[in-house]
Amino acid sequence: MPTRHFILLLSALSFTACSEKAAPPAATEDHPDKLTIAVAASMRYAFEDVVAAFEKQHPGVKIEATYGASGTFYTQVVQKAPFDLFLSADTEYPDQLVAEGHAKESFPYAKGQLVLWAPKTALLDVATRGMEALKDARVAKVSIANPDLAPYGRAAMEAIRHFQLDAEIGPKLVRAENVGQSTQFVQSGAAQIGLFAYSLTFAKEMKDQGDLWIVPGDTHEPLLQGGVILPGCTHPEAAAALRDFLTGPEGQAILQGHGFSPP
Amino acid sequence: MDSEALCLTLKLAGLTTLILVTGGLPLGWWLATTKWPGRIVVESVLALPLVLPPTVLGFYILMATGPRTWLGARYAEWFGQALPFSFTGILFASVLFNLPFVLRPFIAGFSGVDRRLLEASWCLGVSRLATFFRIALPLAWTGVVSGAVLGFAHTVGEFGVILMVGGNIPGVTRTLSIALYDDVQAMHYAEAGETALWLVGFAFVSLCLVSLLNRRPLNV
Repeated sequence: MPTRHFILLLSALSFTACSEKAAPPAATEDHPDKLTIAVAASMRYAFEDVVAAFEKQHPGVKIEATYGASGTFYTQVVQKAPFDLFLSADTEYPDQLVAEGHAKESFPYAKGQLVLWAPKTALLDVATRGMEALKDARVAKVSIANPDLAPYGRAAMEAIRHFQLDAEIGPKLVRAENVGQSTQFVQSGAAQIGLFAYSLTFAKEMKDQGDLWIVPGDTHEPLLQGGVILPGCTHPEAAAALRDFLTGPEGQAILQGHGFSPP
Repeated sequence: MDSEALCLTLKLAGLTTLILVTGGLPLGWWLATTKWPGRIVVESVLALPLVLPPTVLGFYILMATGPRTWLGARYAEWFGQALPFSFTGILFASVLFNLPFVLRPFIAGFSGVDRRLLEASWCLGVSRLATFFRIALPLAWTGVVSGAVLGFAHTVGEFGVILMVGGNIPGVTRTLSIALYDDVQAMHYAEAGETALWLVGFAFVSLCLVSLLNRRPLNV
């Protein structure tokens, strides 16, 4: 009967193509200890480099990273998402997790910077005009990350208020789900200018393409970034090794190459 | 294209279809044959995912199965892991969300079966179960296969519920449509374009298959 054959085919397809591997014994290159890490979107490109360097030193560890808004990850961790480690774009979310008993202790790993960025082709002269460029008539949309979920979105709003631009810029703001999406909005031309993490301008799609101005640190709360190892961590030793690598000289050198400064 | 995401998507769609076909056959048969007036209510409730925003379903599943609820806490106790952000979690969401896509063609297929043939079979002493498998199912097979294909294809295309209930965890809950979203955020347009093209192709082939199946009786 065709129906029965069809269903058999479907199930056979899904099972044989993707049969589960048995639980790995000791960590080796073939059966690595897998760490699933929630990483603030501002860390995307820097963390990819950190992972490459770390995995080279620790062939028994395999890192799977998910990038998104720190606030989204905070909620997911509270709801017991199976992350081993959480690297936030601020210290508030990790500290809150510790205070609420969802994690033992937090560690700072970097300090970020907020940047005002427009593509060179937009000719907004951001580097010399700074925040004044936001008032340009050619600016129809200003991209920021959602201030309720993303620390860089929060910092962007603080800076806009500091320069008393909120009344003028407010209606032009587009809020991305996370800081990575806010850069994509500007890079793709959907928005003319954006306020986001300086570290993301080091992406190969954006490097040397932009006209940028680093927003002075005294116009918003410091962007101190912290992380936590989560209690459900499947490989605590590997997680601790990654934390030590990230906060140690090699990790810090990589982060500085992406526009972060030491915490 | 991300082969891990492809694999996960096939597994999710395959299992969802398997569960829905297994459960949908008796349910669809019952809804197509019962004269009980309450069937309208049951059918409408089961069809809700057709019109509800996926975020509504995602919200309820998260709230109902999170570790703070009784149900979620018991589940986590038994299985050692909460339902949200796991493969089982997205499978559960996916089964609920795709139910009408499978069930409606099933009901349509079963409704088209001539009752006199069933009665003839019963009168000849064939059991109800055997009549279902030997008479009803073969006659309704275009509806059944259409339902299975639509269920499979729609699971492959799911986004909102999977993102809300599953997060975006590589190898666990990152399906193709989520990988595409992630690639766009990372400005990896080439990978995103490749995935998108495959998904368009797959959706097109699925719909062609459904159209072909449903046209067949006219040509005979």
